[in-house]
Amino acid sequence: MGSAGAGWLQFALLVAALAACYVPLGNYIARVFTSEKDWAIERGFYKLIGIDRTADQKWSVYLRSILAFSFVSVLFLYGLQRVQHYLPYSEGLPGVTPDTAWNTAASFVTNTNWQNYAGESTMGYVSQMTGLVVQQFLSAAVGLSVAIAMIRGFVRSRTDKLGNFWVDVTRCTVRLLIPIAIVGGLILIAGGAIENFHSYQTVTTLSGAHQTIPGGPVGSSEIIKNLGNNGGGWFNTNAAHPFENPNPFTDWFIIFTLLLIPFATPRAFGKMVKDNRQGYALVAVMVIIWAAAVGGISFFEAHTGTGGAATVLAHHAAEGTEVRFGTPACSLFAASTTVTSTGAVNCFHDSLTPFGGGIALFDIALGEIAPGGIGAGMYGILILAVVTVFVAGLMVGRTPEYVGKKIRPVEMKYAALYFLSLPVIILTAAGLSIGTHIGQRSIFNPGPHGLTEIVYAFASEANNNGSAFAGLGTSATWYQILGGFVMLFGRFVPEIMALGLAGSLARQQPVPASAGTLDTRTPLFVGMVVGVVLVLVGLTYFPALALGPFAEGLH
Amino acid sequence: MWGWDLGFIGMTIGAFLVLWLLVKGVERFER
Repeated sequence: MGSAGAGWLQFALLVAALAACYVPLGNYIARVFTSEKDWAIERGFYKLIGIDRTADQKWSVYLRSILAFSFVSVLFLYGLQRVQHYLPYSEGLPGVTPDTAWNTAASFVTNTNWQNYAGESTMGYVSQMTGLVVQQFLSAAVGLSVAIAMIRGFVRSRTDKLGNFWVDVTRCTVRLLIPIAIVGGLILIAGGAIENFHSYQTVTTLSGAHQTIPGGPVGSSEIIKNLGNNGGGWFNTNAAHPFENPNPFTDWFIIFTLLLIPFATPRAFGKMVKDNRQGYALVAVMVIIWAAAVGGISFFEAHTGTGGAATVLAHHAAEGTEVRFGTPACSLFAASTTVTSTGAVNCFHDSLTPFGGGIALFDIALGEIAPGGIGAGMYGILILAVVTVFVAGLMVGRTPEYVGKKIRPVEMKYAALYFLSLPVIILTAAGLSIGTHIGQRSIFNPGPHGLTEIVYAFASEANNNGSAFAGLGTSATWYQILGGFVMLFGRFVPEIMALGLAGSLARQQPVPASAGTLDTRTPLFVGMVVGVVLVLVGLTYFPALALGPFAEGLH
Repeated sequence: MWGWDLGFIGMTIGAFLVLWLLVKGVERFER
């Protein structure tokens, strides 16, 4: 079988596996967050931190709990990296420099996992295990908790309470992430990912050179890196490293795990609002956009017309591709990692063809709602659905409603602020970097490709993706500091708007469906949401896309 | 180095303070 056939077979198997998990996992997620019973370990934890698990929180209190939790997490992670040379299993590595430590702390707490460092030459085993990997669990749990609180906005009525953040984040970690991570980690280790605490080994190669072989508990970290849509690799080359992603099976399994929870969350939404067809409609939107991204990147990476002589000779865009997996697996991975907020890579995104890379950038700019990051994709697509029913209501002159709640001007203000916040953050940061000497000093590729690299960097950071085009010196202090702020505001400002919207919806009285209600469970609505997504993002980012990847591709 | 550490801790406090105030602002807008 050729590599293209193998790639499409992998895609078909992915669709089948994700479809098989949709109902059971989605039902389980709904049960985790609606169950009245606490596990013993959870009760012990609530007692330890002094939480009254029955105390529901108003949206703003829920949000302040998230901010307080994340604030402490950033400071803890920053301190841990700074003193790692005092910690055991640090492999002789010095403390992380202040700017890199701060950028990394902001990155892992916001579920971004943007890495301005090479893991194997910067982070000791304990820093990675007790700092970065812990945040890979917790930041994912925070994202899903926000989505669940938003769903409660549709479920509840005449209340300003959205649940208890501490209960949600604990249950998500204990009942969902840890059990799947244990099973998935064992599968990855059985598949060949390394898991040890060996010191780095220096060996002499056949040509007489010396090479350092790193180690580490990689398999157990690799699973949550993908399951939690984090993406921060143990090694610098991420999932292109043979110790992290040894073979085509683990490659497929990694893609499966990074799509697993985001694709099942619409089912949890349908279950919680007691209308499973609402979940099917949203997952259909996600599948359409994901499949289009996979098809688009695969086409341009296999198409030899725009890549020059080297591409023609290799029969595909081979540069930057991990030869163990080939171009089709690179395309499938690149599309899947950018439509989620994962950011793990198995090939070099800077080496994608201009249009292939442009699609990856467009995926990120979509706000990663197809299926998006864990939780973040769910609340993102719910807000898009709200915008869609509003647009539909304008067209036919009806009061817009979604899942039994009226979409009034106040809800639309929250939705508009949600969507405006990310472009403002991304384009302001990119504009500052292009327009100032301090920003320009780190731009190594002039012209359209350089512009794409800058916009991609800030789009990736603000949307908490974490993948990168290379060619931009983001380890310069300017990009470390600006990037840290972009990640923090890109994560929490949209969450403020999403939870504000949820609070507003929860206070409403439900509206029974009438003859004038737009049915949001039909293929028509699915098509409308896809259209709204493409128009909103297309119009917002068209100038940057036209001057970057389009100009480069058409040159 | 300690100066840098204090600076980054200050930046963290500043960033979260802005977010905290934004929540407060949105609450006021609601009323």
